[in-house]
Amino acid sequence: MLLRKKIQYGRPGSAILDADAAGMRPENLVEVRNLQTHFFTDRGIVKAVDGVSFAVPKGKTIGIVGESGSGKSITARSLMSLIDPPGRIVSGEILLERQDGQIVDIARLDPFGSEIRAIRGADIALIFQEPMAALSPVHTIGNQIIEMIQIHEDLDDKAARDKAIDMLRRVDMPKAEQRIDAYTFELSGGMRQRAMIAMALACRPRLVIADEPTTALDVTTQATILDLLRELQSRDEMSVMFITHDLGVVAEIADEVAVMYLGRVVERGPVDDIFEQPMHPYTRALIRSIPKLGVRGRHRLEAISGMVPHPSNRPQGCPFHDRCPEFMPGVCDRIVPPLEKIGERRDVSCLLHSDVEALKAASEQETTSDE
Amino acid sequence: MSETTPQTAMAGTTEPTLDTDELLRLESLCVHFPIYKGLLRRHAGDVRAVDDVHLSVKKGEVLGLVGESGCGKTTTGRSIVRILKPTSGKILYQEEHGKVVDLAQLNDRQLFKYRADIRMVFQDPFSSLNPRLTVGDIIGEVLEIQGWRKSDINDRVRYLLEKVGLRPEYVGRFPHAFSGGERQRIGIARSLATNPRLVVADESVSALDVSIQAQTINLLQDLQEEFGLTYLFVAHDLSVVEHISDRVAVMYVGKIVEVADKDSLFGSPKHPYTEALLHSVPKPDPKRRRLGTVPKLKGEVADPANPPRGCYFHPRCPYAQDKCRVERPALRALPGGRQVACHFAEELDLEGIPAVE
Repeated sequence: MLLRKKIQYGRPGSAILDADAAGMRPENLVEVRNLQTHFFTDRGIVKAVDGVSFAVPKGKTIGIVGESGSGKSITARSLMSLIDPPGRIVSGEILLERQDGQIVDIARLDPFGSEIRAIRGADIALIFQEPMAALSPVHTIGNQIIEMIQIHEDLDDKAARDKAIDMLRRVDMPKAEQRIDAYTFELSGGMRQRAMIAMALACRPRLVIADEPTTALDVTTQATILDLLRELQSRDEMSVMFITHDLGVVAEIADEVAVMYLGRVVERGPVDDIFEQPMHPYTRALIRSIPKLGVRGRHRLEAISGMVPHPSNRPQGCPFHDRCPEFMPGVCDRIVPPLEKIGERRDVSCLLHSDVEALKAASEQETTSDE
Repeated sequence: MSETTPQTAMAGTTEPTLDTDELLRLESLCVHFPIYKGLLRRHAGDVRAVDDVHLSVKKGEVLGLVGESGCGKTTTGRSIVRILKPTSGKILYQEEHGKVVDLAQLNDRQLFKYRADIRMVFQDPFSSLNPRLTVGDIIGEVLEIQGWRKSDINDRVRYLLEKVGLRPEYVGRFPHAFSGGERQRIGIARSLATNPRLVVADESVSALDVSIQAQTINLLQDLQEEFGLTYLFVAHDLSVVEHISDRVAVMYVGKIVEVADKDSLFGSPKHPYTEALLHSVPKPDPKRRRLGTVPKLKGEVADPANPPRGCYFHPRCPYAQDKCRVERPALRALPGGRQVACHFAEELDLEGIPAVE
């Protein structure tokens, strides 16, 4: 306890904001603005999330795509304020509209405080990739769902159990009345994932964060889980933030897409635009590099050269410049591209789409004023 | 061992024969894992991981082997490289000069020379490399066992590293200094060290990131062309399999349900399971998601220790009829060199994936 008093948890300033002052657009449930989550390790600062901005629209699905090390999972955990030391949210805002219309900045909440605990599970729920890591092996799935319900709602044991059975039915768990007393080892991979989804949805959250929920599943099971998520979403009008590395899954489920690379959003927009008119060279390269079903005949894939650098060894300027086919020497390796708005709900972070001269002038001014 | 060449061996004799263009043929291959129960370790049954599999691999082709987890595709691959000893059945392998041997019958000493011919690339680039050996030792170990001279091994390792796109100077480094994609390249270099004729690639690109996966697939294709390799490409990702394979075999609960050349299998599947698999794959094109007309598969993969009666797929099959519930369909030949294990392959009009530009 002594230790906890010494460390300043959460960031100063009030977490509860006035709706007008926050400037949130009414169609958005969550707005993430310039989020930075860094890890202070012995070997230096790892900027896992370094200036991420995106919005989660109400009742829609946003797909967050990126390779490993792009910071997509850390972004998701930041939204729940679940960053383990030595990591910390350093700056930025995570604005959430709560059920009662109040706007809260999650980035400013104490990660151990009662406010965030009231939000976790009730407003925002998380579905993990590996159900065995998220579910307890020594409790029945029913007990875990009931515990979750009773934390957030004032229900007696009987009512909570009925609600848990109802949740299991809603995720199409076969024989829900019996399976509620099953342990995780008695269930198949697809059923475990269903149990976890039931638990996540038990308190009717407004936002579900699904972190690679189908990556460990077979394609046939994946297809049914994706269908289920889509169905539940349209019925309950919840928002889903779907994190994946699989462009096929994103095309299947997302309404909007944010593409991440090395802790930054490089491109964002409606799913059709992202796949039909990708503006960022990384998005273009990513879409071209995957084998597509239906393309016959022998050909080579257009692979992206090189590999994702380690976040502690981030290149100067645009993080993608050393792998980019449209690299402009003297520009891309000097200037960090800002996220530019290029259309309705459409942003891209690439100097091909920015006013390079203005940025150059601005950065020179900054360096002279620093001196 | 028989001295008879396959060309002269007569049908009906016990001498194994293979067609001249065949490299490997599995005949009634079974791999069963016994289940023991109770205090007395009573034999309570078998997990039929691979059950009566017939499959032939032609020289110089890439044969894709697909199926859901637990279908026996990995076990099949592992018994071909003889990490596992099959319970019964034959693994007929045709040597370079035409002699045919049954690898399933050989003991470790007899297998020694074939270990150089049939090699494996593993899925996990982290657990498949010994962290205490340098890259040079990892790749060179097999050459040392096969009796190469030290100086030759050194040259060979450097040559292989260059071939897989790594710098020969890295020969003294340990695996931890490499990324996942680079480690997989080391694994590929190791598999090629002995100039193998058949490489079993078990989910070799599944653990890699999208951009690294494309590089690795290209590398595997280049190496195949350069060295005239034959691949058995075991994978669950159908788009990767379609990209790399010449022919594709589909497995379900330990059995092959369909074999065909890539274009026919993906364009016009003949087995309902193949159709369901193809339409479960998410397409990286938001426009095509609205076109899904094939119903998604319900239910779970059958338990290989306790499979259903009749066709193993019938509880999930949308086209199942009474015959399917009692009679198990055998893998039979269809026109065009394809094989399918379905009673109604001719009658059903199944939907494939249309070719796109």
